[in-house]
Amino acid sequence: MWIYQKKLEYPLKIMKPNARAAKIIMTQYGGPDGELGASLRYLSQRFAMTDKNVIGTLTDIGTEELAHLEMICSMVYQLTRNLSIEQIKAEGFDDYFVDHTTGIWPAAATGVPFSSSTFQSKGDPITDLSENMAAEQKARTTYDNILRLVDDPEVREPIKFLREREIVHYQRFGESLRKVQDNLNSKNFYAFNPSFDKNFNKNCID
Amino acid sequence: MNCCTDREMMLRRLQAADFAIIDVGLYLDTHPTCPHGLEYFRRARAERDAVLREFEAAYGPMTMDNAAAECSWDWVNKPWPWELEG
Repeated sequence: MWIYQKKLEYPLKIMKPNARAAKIIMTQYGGPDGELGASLRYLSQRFAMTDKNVIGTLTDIGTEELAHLEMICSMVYQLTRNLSIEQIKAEGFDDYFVDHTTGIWPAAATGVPFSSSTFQSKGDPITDLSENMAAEQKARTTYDNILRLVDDPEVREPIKFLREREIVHYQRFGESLRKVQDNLNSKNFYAFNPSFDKNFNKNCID
Repeated sequence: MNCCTDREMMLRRLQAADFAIIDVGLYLDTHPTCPHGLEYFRRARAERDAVLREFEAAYGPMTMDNAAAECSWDWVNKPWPWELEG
């Protein structure tokens, strides 16, 4: 279960509305490499994981991603406060506005709705951890691109924080993958699924 | 960033103290016997607990179970995390 803390993971105070930036940043909520997909990916994969430390890593990173999507949603909320209709039209927010006004809804920057088809939970620890390392890099690239597109320091600082967290998570998933591989049965030379093909998995059970 | 009300200043101290726990916790997930990591975690938790007590005494509950629940239901009091003060 989870308990809500009434704060963001990192300070956020964006005073200047910017609908164009909001639409770009929203992609890290509901887009293909966003925080919602990240959190659901890791929290779903936990159940097929064998190693207790890696279960901990998936739980804790999956939980941190929930804090990240809350930061992204908060940024979109603050960037779309007090917009005039003229600003909404001039800053290209009218197509989002017609369906959602300024409500927060998970979609990519292009308007494609959030989909679980953007991530996998394959039931194989090695496959899943390899996916997670790629996922952290894809999110890091997205944050790099956001930093190329946005100038306001009040927006850039929290985005830089989120970018750095992708790098830390990539490191932890790399360590997790190494740990799972080190604990494979020596007969499992080709890295069969240590979760399902349990005859290859004897050394993984504490 | 625009700085800061007293509440925002103390909230930042709490966010920093909590972040130390989040980050060292992830480190310990993959380095579970590192003595420096374990020592850092214990110190970070003690500091976070002190800042959290100070924050909640001044500005109200951080989690629902710490609501005062006296004259009214203070858990729902503004500001919620995404709301801008002032």
